[in-house]
Amino acid sequence: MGKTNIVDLESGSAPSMLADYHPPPGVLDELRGPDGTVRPAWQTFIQRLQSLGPTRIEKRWQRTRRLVRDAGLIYRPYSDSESEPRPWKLDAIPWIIDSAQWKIISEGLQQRARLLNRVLQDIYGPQRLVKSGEVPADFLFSHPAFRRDFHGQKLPNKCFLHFYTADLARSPDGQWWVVADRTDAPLGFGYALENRLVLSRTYPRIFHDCQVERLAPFFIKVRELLQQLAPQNKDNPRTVLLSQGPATPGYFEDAYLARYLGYTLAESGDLSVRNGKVLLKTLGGLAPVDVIMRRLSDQYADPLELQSDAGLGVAGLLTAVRSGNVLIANALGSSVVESSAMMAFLGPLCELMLGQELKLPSVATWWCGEEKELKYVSEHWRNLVVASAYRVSRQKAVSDLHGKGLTGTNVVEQLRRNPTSYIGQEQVNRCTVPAWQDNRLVPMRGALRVYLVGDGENYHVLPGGLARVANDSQMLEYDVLVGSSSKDVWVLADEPVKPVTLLHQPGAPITLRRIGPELPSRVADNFLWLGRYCERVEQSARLLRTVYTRMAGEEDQWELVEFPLLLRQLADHGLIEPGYVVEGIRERLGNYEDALANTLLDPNQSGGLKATLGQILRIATQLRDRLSPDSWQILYHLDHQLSLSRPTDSLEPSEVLTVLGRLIMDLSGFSGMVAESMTRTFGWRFLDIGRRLERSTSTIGLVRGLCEKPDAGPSAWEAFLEVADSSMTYRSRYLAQWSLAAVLDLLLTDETNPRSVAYQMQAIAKHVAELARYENSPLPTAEERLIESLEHRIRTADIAMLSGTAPYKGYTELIERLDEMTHELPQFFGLLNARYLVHARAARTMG
Amino acid sequence: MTRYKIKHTTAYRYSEPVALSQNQLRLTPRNRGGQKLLRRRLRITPKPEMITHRRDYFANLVSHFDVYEPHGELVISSHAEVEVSRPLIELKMPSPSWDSLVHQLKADITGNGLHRYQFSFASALAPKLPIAYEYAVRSFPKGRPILPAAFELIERIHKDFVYDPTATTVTTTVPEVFQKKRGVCQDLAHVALSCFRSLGLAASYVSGYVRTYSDENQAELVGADASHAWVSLFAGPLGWIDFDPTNNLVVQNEHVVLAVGRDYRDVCPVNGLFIGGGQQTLSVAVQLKPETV
Repeated sequence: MGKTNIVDLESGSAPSMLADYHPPPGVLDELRGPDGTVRPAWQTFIQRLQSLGPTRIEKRWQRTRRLVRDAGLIYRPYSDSESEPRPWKLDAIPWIIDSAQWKIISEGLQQRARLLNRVLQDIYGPQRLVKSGEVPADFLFSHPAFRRDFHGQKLPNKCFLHFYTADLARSPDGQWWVVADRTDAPLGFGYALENRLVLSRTYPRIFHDCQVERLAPFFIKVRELLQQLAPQNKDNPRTVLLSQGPATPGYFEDAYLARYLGYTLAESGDLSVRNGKVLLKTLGGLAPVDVIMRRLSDQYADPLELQSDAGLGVAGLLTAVRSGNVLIANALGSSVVESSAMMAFLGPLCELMLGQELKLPSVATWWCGEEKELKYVSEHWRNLVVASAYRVSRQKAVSDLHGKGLTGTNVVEQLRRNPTSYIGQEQVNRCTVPAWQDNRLVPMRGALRVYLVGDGENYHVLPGGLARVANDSQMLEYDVLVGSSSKDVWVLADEPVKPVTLLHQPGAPITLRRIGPELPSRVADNFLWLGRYCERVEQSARLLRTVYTRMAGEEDQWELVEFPLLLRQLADHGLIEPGYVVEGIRERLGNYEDALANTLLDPNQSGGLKATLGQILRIATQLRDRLSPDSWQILYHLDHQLSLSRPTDSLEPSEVLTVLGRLIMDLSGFSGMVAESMTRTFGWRFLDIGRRLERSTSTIGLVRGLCEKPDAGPSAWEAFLEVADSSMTYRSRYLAQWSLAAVLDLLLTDETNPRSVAYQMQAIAKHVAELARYENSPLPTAEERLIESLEHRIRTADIAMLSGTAPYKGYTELIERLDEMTHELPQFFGLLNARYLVHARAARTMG
Repeated sequence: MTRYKIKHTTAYRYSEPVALSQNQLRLTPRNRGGQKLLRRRLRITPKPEMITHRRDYFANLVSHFDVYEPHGELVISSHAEVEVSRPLIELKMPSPSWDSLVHQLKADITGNGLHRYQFSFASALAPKLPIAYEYAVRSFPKGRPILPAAFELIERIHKDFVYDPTATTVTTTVPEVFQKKRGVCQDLAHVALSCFRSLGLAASYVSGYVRTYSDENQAELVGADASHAWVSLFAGPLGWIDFDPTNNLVVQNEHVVLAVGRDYRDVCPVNGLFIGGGQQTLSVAVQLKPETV
């Protein structure tokens, strides 16, 4: 290494990767020094990259990106504001930082974390800093996140700040600046982990050669620390990761982290407080929780005391904390020091409280709540970012006034009217880092986010982090999830790095476990509905396929006896309006082909195929931590399978048939995965119950349709068998002999046909019996009794009688029996719900 | 000095059973500020699984209780005996100018001053507003002693705002009340707070009971109302002075204080969450029996 290599890079025979790499003047570039040489930290990486060559890098990168996309490996949140989930953007080039620089960052942030923790202890304690004016009273009392309810908590180690995160920028002189402190429920270290996974797979050799510090030890530290601080059950505390929910930006990361750390992913509705203890609602009852890793903003944590109406949080949580029964990390109230104004006070505070100079400075900040500062910002606002002094939510960090086209007087007036609400902040002329774009390296502006975990006094730094790059420095002033592209951060070690993993600690004894009833009720509920929706889509797709096959055939579909019967089934499945079945109304409703197109294409037609696929994606998203990557991949892609474009006239039946065929194949793939790879947990049972309930309902509907028109004849019967995926079986059994009784037997009573109603009943009864084993009741449960009775009635249906001479009376009886079942299946569903799933009902306010 | 026997019953009835209910109460009369709590009993049916008590940030006693058994009715009855003896505050008493108080509040935060200073800040339900400032400042010319200024402001609020239980709900905001010029005691208290705070003065929200009279014989009225609300203003050497804008008077021995906070949210007498229940109906009865000693 050294100079000679650099010269090689620049003037070697192969075109240099750096030939076009020109950082803007007056900016520090991480890769190239002022003289154009490659900085030592980057030399190994660039050399290896150079020997790969742009074509191979691009090829590898394409492959990795496909991997990311296909596996949904990292993935943007499913949120209300952006209905389309987007793939996570990751750059092909890491940000490499040498150990000397990293030491500066680490020590600075460790000091800062300690300091902020002390400040929190004072704010929710004696408030000496406020009385002495070090933390201005006006700042605190105007702070919307300063809630009096957070006083008087019983905190292990008196620690508020277990997780601390800082956003950094590096200026032209090489100085690192803290541009934001995150102390509430910091986001992103799950993404940092995922980024590392991807990049180390892209360049396994290079990664190894560069001696990059591993991330896993940090996560081991997280687990150790939360375990040590647990108020009870210290050898094996039950820990949940409390998410703000699937509609929020952090959800994917929450699921990922919960899985990685081995914690139960919980939403507000999964927890409740009884007798001052936090409990997790599981199928097996309420299980005590010792530690909550909080990703839910503290402002919503306890709807009872904080009187928040966001529909989030756990009523009574503060009572539990005050009783010392639970550890919450970060402690409730930590968000108060997250505001930008706080940065203006940290320098003097550090000298006062720690007797040290602040090692890592905050970017220059003026809080307008003080007269002198207000005057300064009013005069210089054009060169500053003017932003909200109190950042309560995680939305936008900056509401810079000059972006809104206000005139100077407006800005000043706004500041004067409400000075405590604003800060002025200098903007760092951020350094550039290399990024991969259009087959080459280009310099882009960089932002670095670093994560720490600690007990209030001692903090550990994640050697890595989440970096972002953008062409426009302004984009980086926003919160982490907005705009720009993310980057892995490689911190170089001084010596070879030992491999560590979180999953396997050699020598540690492990208790073999089978998963029992300790499944959160919400998760069981999601599995149930996943099963139902998957089956619903499959049934709908088969039905539509049968219909479209007729439409694509040579004969006029209206000449076919089965066509109106099939339309009726479509209506019964909620795929088209019932009016299409009735002659006279049908004509007025317009073209039925358009109605079919709507069910295939319109995500807003409730009950439509497209809409149900949306539901599957939504639920799969919520179950992501419980689905295998392969299953997740199939479900994630289901929706894409139905990517038909709406034509000007009508859909081409052959095209629709191809798409439906693919959809059915994929669903079979998922079923196969479930059958062969999913452990028989309670989650699996609920998935299967959901599927079988749905299949019962739709097959009963088919049988009923046949019974209503017993003289429809073989072509209709065959169509129905096609829908029920049983036509092959029929043909192999009866060849070309047709009898309605034989058809009905196959669909209704034949326990060897996995599509028959009898088979579904048997399977459900088995699941219910398994679930009831944990109920500790000597008597069968109500739902056990009901399903057994249903099963019995199916088994004793006398189908043979129907092949006799006076069939019509027999059909009427059968129809009655079927209607009875159609009525009782929802009752069964209700009983199941009441026993296992109805914990998650929303609480209401008194008054 | 007046002694009061208080009975305050809050009953929730539900059309369907409530599976679980979690509540916090601020129903214990304070034991300070010219008021002595002699006796106190809290009865809740059905019997709560758990009940705990604590002092909140403003030193109010908060009782938390949970009911886990299914119930169609929840009755909270609070009994208390209180002795009230507050000094008489009169308009003619000398008081510092209001603007000097504003400066003093800001300057004196090293000790207990910090606690009082917080009441000069906006809170969720009693914000600082230009409209409140414009309205209030007419009674607060520079240098005017705080007592006559406050008396005048309270009188104006009493006159300009019509007491009307149908005009507002619990979610009505101060700007809306300013627009309608109508409301109940809670609204009038928030209006007064917005006025005082917009001027930079420290004022708190007080919940409690007021003795009411049915006719000129001054027989006490049973079950008059739910709890009452008024404001308390910091007046320098005179301490905290309670004004009742609904009745246009300075509080002496006709009022019993339950809780003090920045606005209604800090002192809410009963607040809770429950699961299930269908339709809920609420009935409140307050009985305040004076025994002049």
